Amino acid sequence: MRDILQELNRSVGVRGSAVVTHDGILVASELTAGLDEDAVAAMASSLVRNTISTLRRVGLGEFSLFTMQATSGKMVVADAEVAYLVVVTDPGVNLDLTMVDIEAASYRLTKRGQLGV
Amino acid sequence: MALFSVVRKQLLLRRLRRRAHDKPSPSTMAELAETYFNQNYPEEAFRTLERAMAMYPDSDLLRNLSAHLRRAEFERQVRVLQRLVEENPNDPTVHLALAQIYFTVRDTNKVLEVVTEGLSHCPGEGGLLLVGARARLERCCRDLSERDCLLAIEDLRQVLQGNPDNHEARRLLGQLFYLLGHYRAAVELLAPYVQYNPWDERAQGWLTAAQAGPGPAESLVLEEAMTRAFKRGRFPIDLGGEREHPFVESLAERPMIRDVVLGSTERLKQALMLGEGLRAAVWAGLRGPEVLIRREGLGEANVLALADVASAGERACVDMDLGRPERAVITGPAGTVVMVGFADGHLLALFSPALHSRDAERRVSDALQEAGVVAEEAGGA
Repeated sequence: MRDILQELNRSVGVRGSAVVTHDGILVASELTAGLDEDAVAAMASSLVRNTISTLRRVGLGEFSLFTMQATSGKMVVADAEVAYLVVVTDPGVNLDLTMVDIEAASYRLTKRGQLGV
Repeated sequence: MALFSVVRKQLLLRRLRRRAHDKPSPSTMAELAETYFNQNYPEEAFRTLERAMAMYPDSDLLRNLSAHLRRAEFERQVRVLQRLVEENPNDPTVHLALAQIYFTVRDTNKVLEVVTEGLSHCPGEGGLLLVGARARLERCCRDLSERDCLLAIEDLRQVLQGNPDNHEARRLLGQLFYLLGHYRAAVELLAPYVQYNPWDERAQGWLTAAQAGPGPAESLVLEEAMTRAFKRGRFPIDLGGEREHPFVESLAERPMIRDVVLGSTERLKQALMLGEGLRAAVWAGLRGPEVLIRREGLGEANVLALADVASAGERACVDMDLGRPERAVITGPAGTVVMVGFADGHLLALFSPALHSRDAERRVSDALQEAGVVAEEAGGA
């Protein structure tokens, strides 16, 4: 699983990636310097948990893709069926292009079924 | 000398009258009307103009003169009444007369200014409260301003406390309740009014409509309007019997949230409804969420929960050192949630699946900015 994340991190503008279960448990993470692993893990878990719970209340169920653009960076949470792939990128990155790599990584994670959850 | 002047003015008037009679034309009649007005006979001037306009309905000269004289007469009356108000600030009748003059030209800001000033000198004066309520009702109908609706209700209730038989106050309060969708209260007020004033067809119409009850669209408007009004929490309004209304009851228990200034509620609603596939939109401000609109079938509490997404996203961005969130899109099989960051909060919009478009999203945020709900977008996402 780490090799998938490491390969993804080589894409332009990607600062780090992690895998979080639907319950918000961090399974694996590969973060570049400058990103606090604990903070990303905690916040990614919390974000996934809160978003899913809110979407369920609104009747939307689970999400397949969550993209967030902020002033100093972007974050993508993509559904990999048994878990979520969390990717943090630079602010100037073109997400449409990076999304191809993210979706490919997500697909590989799903297919490999390496998560063991 | 004064006598000579009077005689000279009378002779001038006689000459102009004769000329208008012998050679009637827009110009001769206009000159006569203007002279009447200048010699302080406004009623004669307007009567002459009325006759002339009946004879020459297409005359621009007469139409322009009429507008000019009416404006001049209005300004003259305002000047006189303002002087009287300054001389007799404790006389409610002069405040009332001045407020009514402004009301004739639908200058509701001025009406309310005069009423407020008058009430500071003559607290609880029924006439002033009534004309103030009429002005607020005007604004309520024009701008769908809930603030004015609620203040008008307070004023009218005060009038009715002082004089329960005030039919005008009953009619206005009934109309307001009808507009707000409190049909039961509207019927209670309008039924006795219509009984004593059967010729008032408008009141009869409101009564009939109120007795028929709300349609689904009306109840939605009521709910949203009341939500905003209560959440602003500025108005310690006593809804009396209306507390029985389950919706109002539920609102009363909620904490007051933030004050959002809505420019034109009607325009905002229309703009939001135009957004293709838009099911709901929530404005999550600095101190909490406020429902802007939601389609039928979506519970208010559920829609408000969308604001939690904004808070979770904001927290995540801050903790991961990503800065301030500007835009987020959450896509799922059952729909799309879009969050747009603004300087003082977030707009969350829920779209039906496959119907979400940047165009619809832009329309929502444009409408919000235009309506003054939000000041500026946080970034050019």
